[in-house]
Amino acid sequence: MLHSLDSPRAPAQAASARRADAPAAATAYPLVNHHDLATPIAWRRDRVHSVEEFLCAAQRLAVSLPRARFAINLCRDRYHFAVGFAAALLARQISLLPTYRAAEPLQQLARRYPGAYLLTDQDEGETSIPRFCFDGETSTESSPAEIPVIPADRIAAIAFTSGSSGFPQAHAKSWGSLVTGAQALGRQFDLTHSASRTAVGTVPAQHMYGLETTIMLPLQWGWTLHAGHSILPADIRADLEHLESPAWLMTTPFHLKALLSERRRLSGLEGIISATMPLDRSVALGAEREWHVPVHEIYGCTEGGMLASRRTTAGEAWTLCHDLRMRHSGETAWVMGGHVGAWLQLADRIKLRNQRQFLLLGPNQDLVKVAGKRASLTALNEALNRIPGVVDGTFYRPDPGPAGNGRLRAFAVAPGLTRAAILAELRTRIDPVFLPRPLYLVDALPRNQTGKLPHEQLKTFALHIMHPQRQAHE
Amino acid sequence: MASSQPDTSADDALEQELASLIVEALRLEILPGQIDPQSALFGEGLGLDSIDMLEIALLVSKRYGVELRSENKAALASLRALADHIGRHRIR
Repeated sequence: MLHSLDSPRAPAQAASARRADAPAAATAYPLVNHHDLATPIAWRRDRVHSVEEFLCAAQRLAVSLPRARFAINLCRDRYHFAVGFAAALLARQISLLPTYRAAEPLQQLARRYPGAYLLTDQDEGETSIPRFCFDGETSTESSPAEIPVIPADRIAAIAFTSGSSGFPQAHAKSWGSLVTGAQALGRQFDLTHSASRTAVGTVPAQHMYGLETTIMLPLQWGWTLHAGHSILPADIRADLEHLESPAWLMTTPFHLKALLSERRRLSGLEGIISATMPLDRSVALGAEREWHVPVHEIYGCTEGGMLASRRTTAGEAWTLCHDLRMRHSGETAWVMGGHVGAWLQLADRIKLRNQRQFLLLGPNQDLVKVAGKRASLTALNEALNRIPGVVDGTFYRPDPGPAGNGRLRAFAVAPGLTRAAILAELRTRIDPVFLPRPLYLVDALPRNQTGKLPHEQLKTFALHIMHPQRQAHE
Repeated sequence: MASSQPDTSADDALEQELASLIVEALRLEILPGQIDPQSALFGEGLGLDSIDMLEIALLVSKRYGVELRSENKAALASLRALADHIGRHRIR
């Protein structure tokens, strides 16, 4: 690799020549922060893409994109995603990053952002939304004169969370917040003096965590991004075997657990980062013993990006990002500063140990998370109860067990309706990852005299229904 | 997903066994016999997602000793394609 260990560079030196440790004051940041144009920026099994190729591809694409304000970037290949994202940025278009691909929600998105078109690298099936398909490949016949510098306040992307209304909530990301977020990420993992590494991800680039760790981190720290989207253990093993620089695996507890269950050697791995839900300490310990690499976790959210991290095996406490501040009052916690900006309310309950460290006490009662997506239990219950014929119903989040995959269960009182009919209705109303597996039809829910459904009662009821042969004492 | 289906139907018993394993492991709301062996497992067909794909891969690896790769889209296209792939590569 071209970087040498003895020539550390500050990440993303701002165009206004401010020091990189005062990023919030900068007015513009370069698109990439690699050593030179010949440095690799992306890697896939059959070839390497240099920074020069990337810039040529992005600049060429930028002038051929449809004239619009919004590009829905659905590219699955991470290099294609990065080229599309950079091209949109250069063309002053905002990249919309939905975490779903189903036709109907995409149509809704396109209606909400008039003129939006699909930016894809493969056939996405039938849809009436205009689409622009590209393969991300380019020749370097026209060399880029220089690395583009993007104003910090330009809106680069809009990420989405499931809103409590059931309608996705939009979260705009300025280029400045994405770059300072990437800087914070590097500082958190002490990457300042690090040579180039390859980011391998099991999370899509459209997810905020994936965007931060597999796109922005490589762009801003001179790393190489792995173009693939590896999910299965055999995929990850094969990817790592072919890499030229040491790799960091950006993954989730679910993927990591699966990878670990195979107990196979992984080559070239230097670090593991896990996010989307808390990682079992036993899995982190197992991974560190098996592969001799540190396992870090990120705590964050779509609204704020990365907020804190911890080395799972070192203890429960999370260390807040350097330039963030946190406070809490009762059940509610807020964070502000750095890439987060103004005070942001968190969806989790926390306990502050000191200014920099805190404990995560778990999600607010109303929050459920499946496959890195959040939803409000209240909203899911409303969706279930609005189905004609459903008299009463509730979703249920089982306690996470060793075999659990986090899927929800649901109980419905619906005489005259079949489970299939209820599920078909639900499918049109909620994100499919939240569909109950399974849905139980019951005669009544264990409501108390005031009509409430106390958690303990529901838990006992659920255990009885789910495991009728067992005593409900888990 | 790849459109080409294997020409020869996999062993019926294996196909049924696999359907039962999938329904049970993923806690699907259907009977094994209701899975159309030729329709897509992921996305629009049966509506499975990437979490399901990972669970199926682990299940297939443990039970049959066959490693699935997501780039091998043909093998993951349908129940029949998967059964066919396992039938050809199983070591147990």
